[in-house]
Amino acid sequence: MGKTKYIQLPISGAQEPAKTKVGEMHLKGMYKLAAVILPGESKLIDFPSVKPEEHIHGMIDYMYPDDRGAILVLLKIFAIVPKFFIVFIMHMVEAGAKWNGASGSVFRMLQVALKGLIFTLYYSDFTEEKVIHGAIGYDAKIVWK
Amino acid sequence: MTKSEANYDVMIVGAGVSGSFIGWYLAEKGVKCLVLEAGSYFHAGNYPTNERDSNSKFYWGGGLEFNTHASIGLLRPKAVGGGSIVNQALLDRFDADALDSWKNRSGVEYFSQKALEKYYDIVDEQLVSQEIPAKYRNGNAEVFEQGFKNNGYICAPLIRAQKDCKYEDGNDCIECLGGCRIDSKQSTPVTVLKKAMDKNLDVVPDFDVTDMQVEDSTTRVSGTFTNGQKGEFSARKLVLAAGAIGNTRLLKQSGFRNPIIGSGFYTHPQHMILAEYDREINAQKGAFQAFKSNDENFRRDGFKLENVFAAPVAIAMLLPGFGKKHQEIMERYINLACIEVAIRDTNPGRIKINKAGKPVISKSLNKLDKTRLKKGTEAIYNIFNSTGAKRVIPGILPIGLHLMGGCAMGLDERNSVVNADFQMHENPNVFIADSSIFPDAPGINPSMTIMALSVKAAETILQKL
Repeated sequence: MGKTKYIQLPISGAQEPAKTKVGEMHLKGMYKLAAVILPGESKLIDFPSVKPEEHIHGMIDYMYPDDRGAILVLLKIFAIVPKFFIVFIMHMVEAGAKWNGASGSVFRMLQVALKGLIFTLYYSDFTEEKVIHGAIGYDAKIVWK
Repeated sequence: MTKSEANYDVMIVGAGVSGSFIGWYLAEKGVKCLVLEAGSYFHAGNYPTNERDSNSKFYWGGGLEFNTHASIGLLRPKAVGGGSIVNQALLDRFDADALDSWKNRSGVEYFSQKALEKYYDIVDEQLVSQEIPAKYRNGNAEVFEQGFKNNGYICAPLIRAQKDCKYEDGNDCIECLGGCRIDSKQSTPVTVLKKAMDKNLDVVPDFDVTDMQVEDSTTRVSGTFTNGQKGEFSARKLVLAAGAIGNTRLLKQSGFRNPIIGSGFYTHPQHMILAEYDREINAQKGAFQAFKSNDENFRRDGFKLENVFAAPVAIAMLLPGFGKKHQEIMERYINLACIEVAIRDTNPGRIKINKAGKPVISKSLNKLDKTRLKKGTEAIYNIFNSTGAKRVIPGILPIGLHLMGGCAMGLDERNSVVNADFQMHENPNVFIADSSIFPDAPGINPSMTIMALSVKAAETILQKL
């Protein structure tokens, strides 16, 4: 171990992790996945309306590198496969996640990873008017006085 | 202000509940302390205001970690203040049953209500705790209370570490799962850590300690800041307060060989079960969490029920399925109620660390644990069915929020990691006092006992400086 370094205290503000490279193919795959998970056939606005590409870094930059890498690979695959294949995968994931023990573990991880990505970017509600929270009735607040 | 290596008497890895209380006690006694924390320093002015940031910035792994079978999602806080920032600040002293079990398992005599009373009292003096006034309980609390009455179960109001939540202004405590923006929650950065920082304690956030070297007169740690910069720090004594997984990781990466390190891992596995009602429940409103089960039969059967709910992303993750049907349930968010069963798990898990430094956690439920879960789940169904629920929806993502063990305390070094003076058997210059020293799962919210044991540990450390 080398010589102890000196640091300036206090450190101001939270440090940000390195920014992940997210390409066009990743975004295309994410939109196709979202079209399956959140089809938008309801009073809720559609997924693209929340501009998820502007908010994805606040999520994936904080993941463990291998988790992040796996998600990005899946998004690239989703970008090139037909939609019905993604629907099939999601049904498989939902069914497989119910299996006990090791046999269901991959499906449970996929379930959290895929639904987690889409639901986080959507239900965090980054719209200015909070239209998603408004549509589901989520009106929790902290009042500043 | 510039700080150098020679300034510190005690260095604490982890600024969660334990690290904060140890640092506070020592700083009050004039000991110069440095606390290193992998997470960031947040306060009322910069707490996240959306669920994405609450999840990614306050928890390891960007939100969730898993056991190897991905059957339990582990929520491991990562912030100055640790669990006291993100939890719901429930305060419970351990009962005789929990402490007797610890005493039998560890051989440590002071695991008794009488011996720990002094330390619980010290903790009580540092926090304001309150019962939620009845008029601010929400529809979810009403379902909980009424369902208990209907079924002959016994519940009690929760005691929470909070003050002046200004419910009359319309505040909703569910927002405080991402940090309390009006500093009402008695998290350590607004209580003991704040007092300590005004005296002899410095905090370095965003610094992940990955290696340590311990000698008789000096301990050195090295690690990496979140922005990639390397750093090294030293002090006379070292305290590990990085939790069950964090301590295990650091010890294993630093070459400690005791095979017990990482074993005996417990989580109080929690299952959130939702129910849909025709009427509005508005579980997101007001005091958010007001009751707990206080039933001797439940305690005997190894589970407890809590009156909980979650913000939209978390509820979406709990609901089964996807697509249109999932959206339709989300559109009825305000018609949902929720109760959680947490079991006193008896099957210990094991924490290992892979080459990349990532925890690999083996943890499953044995037959007894499953029986406890089944009984708790049945009680929840009874509550919902007796209060007019249209349908009950079991959450699909069990979680572990109380991460305990891995460095268990005990007199016999063949089956424990630290002795009764909170020193590692393998190297007495390293102290550990957080939830990682728990000999088994108490089945009770652990926060207050972590605080009390940390005060006791600090008292011991002071004597050995």
